[in-house]
Amino acid sequence: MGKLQNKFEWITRLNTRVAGVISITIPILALLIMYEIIMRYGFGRPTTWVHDISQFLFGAGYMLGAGYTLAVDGHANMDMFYSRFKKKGRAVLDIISGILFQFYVIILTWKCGLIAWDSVKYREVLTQSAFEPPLYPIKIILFIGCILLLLQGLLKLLGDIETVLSSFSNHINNSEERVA
Amino acid sequence: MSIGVITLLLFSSLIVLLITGMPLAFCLSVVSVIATIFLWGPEALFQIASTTFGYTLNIILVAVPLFVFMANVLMKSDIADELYETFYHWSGRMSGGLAIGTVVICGIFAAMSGLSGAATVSMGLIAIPSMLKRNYDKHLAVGCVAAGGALGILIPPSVVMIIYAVFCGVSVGKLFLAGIVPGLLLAGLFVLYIGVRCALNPKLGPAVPKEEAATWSEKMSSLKAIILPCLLIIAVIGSIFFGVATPTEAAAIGATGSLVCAAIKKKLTWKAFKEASLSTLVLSTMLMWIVIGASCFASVYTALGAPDMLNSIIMDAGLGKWTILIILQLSYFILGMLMDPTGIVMLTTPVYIPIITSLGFDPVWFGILFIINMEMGYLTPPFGYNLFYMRSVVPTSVMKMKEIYISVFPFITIQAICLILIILFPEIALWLPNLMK
Repeated sequence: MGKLQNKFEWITRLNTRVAGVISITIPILALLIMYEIIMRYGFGRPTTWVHDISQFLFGAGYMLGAGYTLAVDGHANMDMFYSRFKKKGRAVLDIISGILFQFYVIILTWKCGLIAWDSVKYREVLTQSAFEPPLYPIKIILFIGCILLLLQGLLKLLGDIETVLSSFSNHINNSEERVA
Repeated sequence: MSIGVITLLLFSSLIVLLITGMPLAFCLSVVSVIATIFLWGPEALFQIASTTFGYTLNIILVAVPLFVFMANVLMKSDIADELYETFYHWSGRMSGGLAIGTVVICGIFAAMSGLSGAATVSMGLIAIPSMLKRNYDKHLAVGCVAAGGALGILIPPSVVMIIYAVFCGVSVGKLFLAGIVPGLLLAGLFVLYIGVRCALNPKLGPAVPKEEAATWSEKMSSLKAIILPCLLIIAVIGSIFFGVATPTEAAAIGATGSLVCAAIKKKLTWKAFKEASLSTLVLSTMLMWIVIGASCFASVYTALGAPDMLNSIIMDAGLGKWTILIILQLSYFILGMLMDPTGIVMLTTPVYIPIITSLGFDPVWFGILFIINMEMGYLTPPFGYNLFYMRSVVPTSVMKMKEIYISVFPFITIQAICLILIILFPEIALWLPNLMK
């Protein structure tokens, strides 16, 4: 691992912490929906809020979990060709795909930031629901999730650049030795 | 540029990105962002954010993490070990009995989990070493676990079915019910194959020696292991069948039930709970980002008018409806080599479903054909999930990757036979869901 990458390891720690906390929402989701079932069949009093809240909880889960999933290489890819490259070759491929990925995430973050800002400004609520929950909390979470993903992606890119640079300088050192 | 050329560019750049090893989810998103800028200018980019946000308002997809969580908790509670013990006692004395038992356990596991991973990994760790110790043929041992594990997406609950149902506009409950009989049929064909081969050549699956045979009391007490899984399956599938609960609610019942099972088995530690939650989060995040990426991609090429174009090309080619059906199935099989079922559903739906309905086919039935096709994809390189799982549990000293490919081949053939049977006799899939009406 490169020096600079080491210095920014806090990003991975931050994402790990966030994912650890947000992952607990999944069993909570199960219990919430059980509560709804019990209220409906046991007491004849279906809730208005469980439906909306459970959607938002899962949304928060996969948005805030995105950085961590990237950190642990949890995304499915086709590695038939990728796995044939050596470490340096992989790093070069990763830099190319990493730059494209950053381009996408920056746009996503920017646009999610805009829709979150509008939502806060107009105190937007979900109108097609009896509960009418405010929408800005989930939109702000979307924006935060994008930033976490952006940071983790940058850290990965930094690591790949360092890998290529260090193998490059090793190569120069080796050839200098040979000349000497 | 014509629609045709742009569409071709879209898909070829997607494939180039996939080859660089970039995750599928981001390949899809990157191509859609760049295409959006070129085709409609930067102002159109807000679409990307609103699509991403749109999925936080989808209650059906909430079933996905809950079913994944259920499987993860069950994996931690040693249910697979106990089931294996039971079948060891009951069918071990038969030749090929352990392999047959393994397929049956995979079927039971499939009825408790939404993906193929839980059964494949658990049985890979438990059944393969045990069968190899008893001198079972290694191809048979590895093949039956890989193929049995793939039953996970056909026997409900099934995450792939949920995604298919959401994007094809069919009822999740109906699709689940339609998977039951084909799932049992396929498991039955696997059992039949193993039974016949071992009867012809008992060396493939030697019976457990007589000295190790279980007594009747041991056999009876081992049956206890089946009680909890059966209750759980009845609660989840039953509540959907009788219309008591929506699929999302059934998933919550299953997830809570799995926690109860783990508690009864005294396996519900804080550590296990945290680990199950975290791995569920990673898996569902991965799936949801594919959904987001594929959704952006699909909206780009739908806005272009590509589905209509492809639709008219296929419909005007003068092919019979059965030829078209076979072409669509072959295309699924090829796509299955390149990407995850979630991506395939979302990319093909805008084109395929209008074709299917205009030819007068039932989209629920077509969904089952799709799922069996994806099961075959799970066993075919290069994107065969179950092959990766096998590689991670079978030491290379026992079997090289190439041999793993060979060992699943007979099972892929059986899946293809099952696919053809369901094409010829749609009632196999549609009988049960039609009862629900």
